[in-house]
Formats: sequence, structure tokens, C-alpha cells
Amino acid sequence: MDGGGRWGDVPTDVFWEILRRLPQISGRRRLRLVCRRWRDVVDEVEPEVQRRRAKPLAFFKNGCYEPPSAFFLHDLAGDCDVTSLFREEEQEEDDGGDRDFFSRYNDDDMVGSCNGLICLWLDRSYSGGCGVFVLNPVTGETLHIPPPPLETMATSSHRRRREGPLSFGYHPTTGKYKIVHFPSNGRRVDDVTLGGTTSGAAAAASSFPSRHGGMVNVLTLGDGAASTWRAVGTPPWSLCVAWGVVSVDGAAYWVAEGREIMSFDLEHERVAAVAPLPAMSKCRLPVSMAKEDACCQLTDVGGRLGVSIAIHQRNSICIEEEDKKDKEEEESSSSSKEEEEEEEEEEEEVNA
Amino acid sequence: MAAAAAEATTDGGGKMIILISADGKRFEVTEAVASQSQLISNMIEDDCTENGVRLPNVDGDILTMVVDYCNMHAGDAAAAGDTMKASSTEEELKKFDAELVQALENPVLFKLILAANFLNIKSLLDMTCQRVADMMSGKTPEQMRETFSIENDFTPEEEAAIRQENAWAFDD
Repeated sequence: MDGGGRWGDVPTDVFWEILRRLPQISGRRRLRLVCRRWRDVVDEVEPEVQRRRAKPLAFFKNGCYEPPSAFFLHDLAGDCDVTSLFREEEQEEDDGGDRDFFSRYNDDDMVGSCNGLICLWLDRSYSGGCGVFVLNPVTGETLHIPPPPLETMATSSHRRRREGPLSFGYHPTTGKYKIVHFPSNGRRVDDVTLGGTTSGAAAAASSFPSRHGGMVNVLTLGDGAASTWRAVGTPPWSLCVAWGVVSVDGAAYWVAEGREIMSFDLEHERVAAVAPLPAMSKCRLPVSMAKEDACCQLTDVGGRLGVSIAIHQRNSICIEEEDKKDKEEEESSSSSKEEEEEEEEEEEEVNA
Repeated sequence: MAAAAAEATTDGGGKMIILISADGKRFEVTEAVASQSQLISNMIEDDCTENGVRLPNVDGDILTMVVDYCNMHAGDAAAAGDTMKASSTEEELKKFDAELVQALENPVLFKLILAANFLNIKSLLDMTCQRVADMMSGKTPEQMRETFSIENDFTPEEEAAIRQENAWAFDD
């Protein structure tokens, strides 16, 4: 008899039996780090597309009184097993000064999540911890990133409000995580200077007044000491905050004031207009795009860009996926009809 | 076939089958017990069990466990029609399974999984794979290597590359 069972050589079909019982995507990913054979088997039985299927994440924000918390929903169809994965520890108030206790957590927000990481914006200026936090709920690691450079700093208070949305994204081919800050207080650019700088869509949007002078702030994670904010020049762009910024498959997307969808590609770091989603022209969209009117939202639907539209007071949600990537869509839609349905369900229930 | 059936029968009246382990140990079990293994069930259908079933991949110790398991669970199928009997053994079965699976450690667990896979005994494979999954969950790659006695055969470069793919975005 040989001494130990040779787990490194476990047959593929048996490995698959074990693998499908592992509850968390992150758990399966960790198996890839054990040895070559396991890495190869995980890759074999679980192609990239499948691995990327995310679990729904519920993010709770109770405004003033409690720090935000987040939960993974393991099983929407079955027992709805909810695991708390992050609850910020209550911090001792030291020299909080004139900080208003009741608005303590008001500005906390989730920037985004991908590959099991959660990116948060937390205002903890009283304890010197204001800025972006990236959490790995599986390992409990936390990464603190200073806030992006802000043009206007309120010097009278050490509260730093976030100015302009952030986006947290992963670029699959370069394997890099980037956080992009879209300054909301960028210079306004005279319409005349726009001519011909960007695509037709952007030019069409040029009639809208509040375009931001061409820059965004980008931070690449995992660059060690080089993980600092870089200002990246772009053509002037406009941003509709109400629709949110969503990060899908290596790019950040948002809706410009002309209702064009704009993208910021995480690899080349360029702003460009993308083809509009058909649902956005079919549905009656809210007339106003003011901040209060947040009943439309760009979302990630199974790794593709989608938009969810709540029509007036009815709670119907219309979700449409981006159709520009014909090839990818064909591949994944042929994989399973069920899967598509599940994904939509996820989107309706949570902000994943 | 008729001759074989006549020569070995139990009080239950089922035909007996001889299983022979890799190290030559012989186990006599009823057809009902043996046919929980899809492999043996197929052999019974094909009528090629007369001279005993040789299982060159399965050690005697492991086959003992497999036969015990199958003996316990033979009631499942046999008593399917008899609800009284089925319910009375259900708790015992659960207890038996729980004790068996808890007692399993490397390398016995590994061998039992291979045997369950080879013999194609679905319930046993389910149970043992679940045990492994439980052992894996919540462990770091290093702890998994330790638990399962696996050598880290990555070069430092490869490991770095995988960490990058897994991309936890944290500096170690």
C-alpha cells in the first residue's frame, strides 16, 4: 500500500464531483493555487465564463446610524442562505470634533464589486481613514486607498465629500483592477472646442452644456508603491449621475446627458461612445434626468452591459442586455436558457 | 446461470455474488447489496459474475467499508415498498453514514472515493465528495496542501501569475 492518497492525481470526474459541492466561487479559485494538476482541472471543468458567474451580493446601507453591511446570497431558488461577509467594526470615537454623529455614515457607499472583492467609499475622516476601501471578504483583507485628488477641498472641515462617481472594474485580459474617478467638478468646456474630437455620438451630445474637461483619475491596484491616482486625459465627456456608472467586462459605462452610453476602457484608458441599448429607445424614459429621477440604471447582466428601467410608479423592471457583442452573446445564450433567467432574477433582487 | 443461483442462496432467497479485492480477500454479498454498484449491477445483467467479481483497483480494507456501506443501504431499495421498515431504519442509516464519514481521513477517504467512483455507487460517492468539499472549504491553498499532502509544484513565477489571475489585488 502506498502511504498517502495521492490527491494531486484525483481523477477529473471525481474532482468535478467535489468541485461542484464547493459553495463559493472564491473557494474554487483558491483550489487553482494548490498545485498544477488542480489548476488544470479547475480550468477544464469550469471554463472562464462559468467562473465569472457571480453570486448576488446584497449591500445594505442604513444611512446614519449603522455602518453598511453586505451579504452573499448563496442560493436564490432554494434556502436563500445568506452569509454576512462584511460588517465594519465600530470605531472608537477619538477626536471626532464637530463631526455630526448622525450623519456619520451618510456618505458611505459601495463603489462596486467584482471577483468577490468589494470596493467601498467610506468617510472616516475623523480616524484618518477617508477614501476607498477594497475588501476581500473571504480572506478578511482590506486595502485602503486615499481618496482621489479633489480640485476643491473644503478646508474648514476635515470632511471630504466624494466629488463625482467612482467605478471599480477588472480588466480580464490584463488581469488588472482599476478604480476610476469621474470628477463632477471638472471644468466646463466650451461647445466650440468640441468639434471633431470624438465620435459622432459624442458630438451629438455636445449640445448639452455640462461637459467635463477631459480628465479622469485612475488608480491601478496591485502596482505596489505605484498604486496612486493618475490623471488621465480624455476628450471632454458628460456624465449623468442618476444613471450610475457600471463596470462591465473591462470597461466602465455611464449615460451621457444626451442619453448616449459612454464607456471608459480600462485597458487603453479611453473614453468612447457605444451603441445605445434598444430598450432605452423603446421604453418611455423619464423626461428628467435629474438626480432624483433614479429609476433607470445601467447594470451588469451576466457579464454584459444592461439597463434596468422602472417605469413610473409600477414596479415593473425591464432589463435589456447590450447586443453589440454578438459573438459573445451567442456563445453564452446557447449555453443555457435557464442561466439567463436566473441572471435576470439576480439583477432584480439585488445590486450585484 | 440456473446452476449458480442454486448453489448460493441466502435466507433472503437472493443470489449471492463473490467480490474479490485486489489483495485477494473474498466477500460474499447478495445481489441486492452488490447491485448498488452500477458497475456490478451491469455485470449481473450481463451474467458475468459466476466466478466472482475481481476488483483489482480496490484493497480489502476499502472493500470491507464499501460492503458494510452497501449492506446497510441495501434496505433502501429492498424495503422501498415497505414503508414501516424503511422509516425504522432511516435514522440508523443516517447515524451510520455520519459516523462513517466523520471517521474518514486521508488516505482512506481518498481510496474510498476512488472505489466509489470505480464501482459507481452514487450515494457513497456523493457522501465522500461532500466530505472532501467540507474539508476544503475555508482553507487557504497552503492549508489545503497540508490537509491533502500535496506538493506545491508551481514555480514562484507561476504562482505569482495565478495569484494575478485570481487577482485578489492585495500585496502579500
